[in-house]
Amino acid sequence: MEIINNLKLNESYTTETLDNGLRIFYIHKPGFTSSTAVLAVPYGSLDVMQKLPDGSVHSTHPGIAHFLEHKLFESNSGQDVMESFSKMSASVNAFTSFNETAYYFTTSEPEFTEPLNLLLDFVQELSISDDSVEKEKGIITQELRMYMQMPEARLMFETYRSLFVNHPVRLDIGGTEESVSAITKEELTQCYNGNYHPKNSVLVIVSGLEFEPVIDAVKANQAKKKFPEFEKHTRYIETEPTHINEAIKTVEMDITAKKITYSFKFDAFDGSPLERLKKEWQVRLYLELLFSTYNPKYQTWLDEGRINDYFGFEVDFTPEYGFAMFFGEAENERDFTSLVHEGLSEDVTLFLDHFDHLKKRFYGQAVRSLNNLDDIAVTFARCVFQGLDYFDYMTLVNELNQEDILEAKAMFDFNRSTLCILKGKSE
Amino acid sequence: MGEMIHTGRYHISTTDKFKDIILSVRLMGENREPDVTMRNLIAQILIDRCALYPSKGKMTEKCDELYGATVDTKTSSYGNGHCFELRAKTLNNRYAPDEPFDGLLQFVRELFLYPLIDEKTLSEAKTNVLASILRQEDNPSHLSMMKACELGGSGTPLAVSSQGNKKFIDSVNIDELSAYYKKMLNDDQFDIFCVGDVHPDRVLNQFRKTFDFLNETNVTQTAYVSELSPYQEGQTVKQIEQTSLTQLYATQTGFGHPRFSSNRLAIVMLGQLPSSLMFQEIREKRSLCYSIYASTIAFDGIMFVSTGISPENTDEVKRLIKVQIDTLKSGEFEDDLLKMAKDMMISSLKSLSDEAPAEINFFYQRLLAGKSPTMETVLNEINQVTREQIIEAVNYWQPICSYAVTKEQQHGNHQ
Repeated sequence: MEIINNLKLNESYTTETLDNGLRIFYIHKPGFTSSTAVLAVPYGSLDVMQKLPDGSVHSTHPGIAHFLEHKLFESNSGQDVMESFSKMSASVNAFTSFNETAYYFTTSEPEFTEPLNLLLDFVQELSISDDSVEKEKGIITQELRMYMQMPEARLMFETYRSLFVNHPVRLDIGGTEESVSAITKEELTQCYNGNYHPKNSVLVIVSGLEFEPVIDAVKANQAKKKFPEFEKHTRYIETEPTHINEAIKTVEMDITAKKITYSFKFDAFDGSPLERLKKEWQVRLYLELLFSTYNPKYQTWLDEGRINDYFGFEVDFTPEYGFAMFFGEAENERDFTSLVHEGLSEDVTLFLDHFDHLKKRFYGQAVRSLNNLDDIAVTFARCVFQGLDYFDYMTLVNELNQEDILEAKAMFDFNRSTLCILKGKSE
Repeated sequence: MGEMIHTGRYHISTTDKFKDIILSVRLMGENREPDVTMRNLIAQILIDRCALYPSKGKMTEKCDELYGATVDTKTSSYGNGHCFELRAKTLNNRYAPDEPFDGLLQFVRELFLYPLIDEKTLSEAKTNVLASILRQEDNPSHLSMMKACELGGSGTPLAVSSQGNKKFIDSVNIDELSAYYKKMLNDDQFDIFCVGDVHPDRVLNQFRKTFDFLNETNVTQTAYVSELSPYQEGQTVKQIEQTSLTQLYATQTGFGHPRFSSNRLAIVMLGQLPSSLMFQEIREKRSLCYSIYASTIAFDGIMFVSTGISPENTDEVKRLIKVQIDTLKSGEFEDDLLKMAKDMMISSLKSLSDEAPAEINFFYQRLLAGKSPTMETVLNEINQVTREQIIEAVNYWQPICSYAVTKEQQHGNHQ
C-alpha cells in the first residue's frame, strides 16, 4: 500500500495492487456525501483487431467492446443488475470509449460496500445466452441511430473517416447496424476472456468514507474468486499512412446550420506518456493564443460573420495517431479554411504576453475539476492506463514555457489537412 | 447536506470541500415574448464585453488574472417566470495567493453596471442566439420537445421557448434592449447564492454593497398549473431514420402542491430508473428503443415522456406508454418499485450537497414555490408518500399532446 500526497492541490490517494493483479486507487474526499467507484479495462473500440498469445491476429466486428458493455449488465442468477443497484440506492452506468470500457456507480448512502461488491461481481463474470445477445441488437441499433441523427456526433465521425485511412478511430464506437447484427455470443465470450481480468483492470474509488473498511471489502470479495490464467489480447493496429484519407468530404443531413471541420493530421507520438501530454498542451496553448479572444483578429472574424460562438478546436495526441481539428458553423467552407490559414500564419510571439494568463486559467480549471467525483474517477483510470501520474497530469501546464509553444507551428502541414462539411439536404 | 443560510434574498452555504467558490445571481422576470428573446440577447452581451473591459481580449485577461474565473449566463423557464442567471466561479482562496473571490465580486458588479449595448454587440448577440436556436432545431429530439411544448402549451408560458424566438430576434433594437435591461434590473425578483469557503457575515456585507442596484422587495410569480386542453397530435417530417417522440401530460399538480411529492415519485416509477415501468417493458422486454424516460416541467405542472424509436413502432410504443401509465393508475405495481423510487430520489437529493450548482437549483426552486428550504422537510415528504397517493396523483394525469419528428407521415390514434 502506498500513499501519494499533493500538498498544493490538498489531495492524496492510496494505491494497492492485490495478489490477483487488480490495481486499486482510493481518493479520499473528506466532507463529500457521495461515493463513486469505477472498474475499468483498457479495452475499447480501437481494439477491433487484437494479437492473441499465440501471435495470431484476431479480427472482430466493429462495436464489439460496446456490445460487451451492454451485455455485462446481465447476471447468471437472472437478476437485473441495474435493478439491484437501484435497490441499494446506487445509480450505475457504463461507457465504452476508443481506449477503455468503464463501469461505475454512485451512491450517497453510507453502505458503500454492498454496491461495490455488486460492481466487482457483475463485471468479473460474463453470463450471456444466444437469445439475450439477439435481443440486445435492437436496443443497440436504436442507440446507433440516435447518435447518427445528432449533427455534432455525425460530423465528428465523418471527420475521423476523412483523416484516417486504416486506423480504427475511423470506426464508430458502437459499430454499424450490420456489424452489430453479426456479433455472436462466441465472439463476445472470446473478447471478454482476452480483456477482462483483474490483471487488466483498475478500480478507482473516490469517496468521503474512510479507506480501510472499503479496501477490506474489496480484498474479501476478490479472495473468494478464482480467475483463470490471463492470456492478454493486445491491440493490433495496421500501419497508418502519413497522408489523409480524403481532402474534402461533404455529407448531407436534414439540418439548417451548416457545420464544418478543418483538420490536420499529425504523426503518432512515440515519446513517454508525459512527453506526449506536454506536446498536446503545447499545441493547445499555441492554438489558444492564435484562435481565441487574445488574438484581436478573432473579433474581426466574428464581426465579419466568418465564425460564430460555435467556433473552436480540439487537439488529440496518442501513441497511435494525432490531429488538431477546427470546427465551426459557416456558410463558406473555403473561407473557413482561409481563416484557419490566416490564424496559423500569425506570429504567435505577438501574443506571448498572455502566456502566463493562459497557464493560470488552465491551472485553475485543473484544480476545479477536483470537485467532481465521477470526473476524478474516470480521469484517474485513464491516467493509469496511459501510464501517467494523476497529479502530473493535473499540474503539467505549470511546467510549460514560452519556447515550448513556438515548436507547435511546424506541426501543421497543409498537405495533411482535410475539410469535412455537414450541410442541409436542400442546399 | 451543508447548511444554507438565507438572509432576505441572499443565500450562503459555507463549505471548504470544494476547490472553488461559486456565485449565482438570478433575476426572475416574466416568461413572455418578446421579453424572453431580449433576456437571451442580454445574456450574450453582458459577458461579451463591458464599458470597462471593451474587448473580448480584456474580458478574458480579467478572468485569467482571477485564476481562470468563469463567468457564464444561462436562461431557463420556471412556469410564469423566466430566470436570467449569471454564474461566476473562481478558485477557493486556499489555492490562489491573491484571494480572487473579492476580485470576482467586483468584476461581476462591473458587468452588471456597465454593459456595452451597441450595434456591434447586439448584432453579434443576435447571430449567436439565432445560431443556438437553429442548433437545437437540428437535433430531432430537442425539436420534438420544443414542438410538443408549442403545440400542447399554446397560449401558455409552456409554449415560450426559454432560449428565445427566431421571430423576435431581428426586430430588437438598441434602445428597446437598453430600456428592457434597466427594467429587468429594477423590476425582477433577484436571488443571490454563494457556495464555498467563505465567511458568511463578511460575504453578506460584500453582497449588500456589490448588488446595491437590485431591489430586494421585488416578487415575480412563477408556478402555475397548465389547464387541461384538448389532446392534440403533431409531427415534423425530416429525412431521418429514427422517430423522436415526445408526449406531454398535464398533471394538474404544480410545484409546491400537496400532491407534488407523490406526483414526482410517480414520474420516477414510470421512467427514471432502470426498473421503471417504461424502461423494463419497452426497452428491456421488447428492445423497441435505447432511451426512454419520463420527466417533469414542474413549474408548469407538466409530465413528459421522450424516446427514440423506429417509425413503424410509433403506435405500438404509444400504446405501451399508455399501458404503463394505466398500471400506475390502477395501482397494479409492486411495492418494491415505490420503495426503489423513494430510495433513489432520497439518495439523489442527499448527493446535491456535493454539487454546488445542483444544490443552488434545489434551494432556488423551493424558495420560488414558497416552500420550506430545508432538505429534511423534503426527505420527510418523500418518505411519507403512500401507494394510494401515487395512484391518486397519476389519476390526475391527462395527455395533452403527442409530437413526433419522423421520416414519414404518422397516423396516430387520436384520444
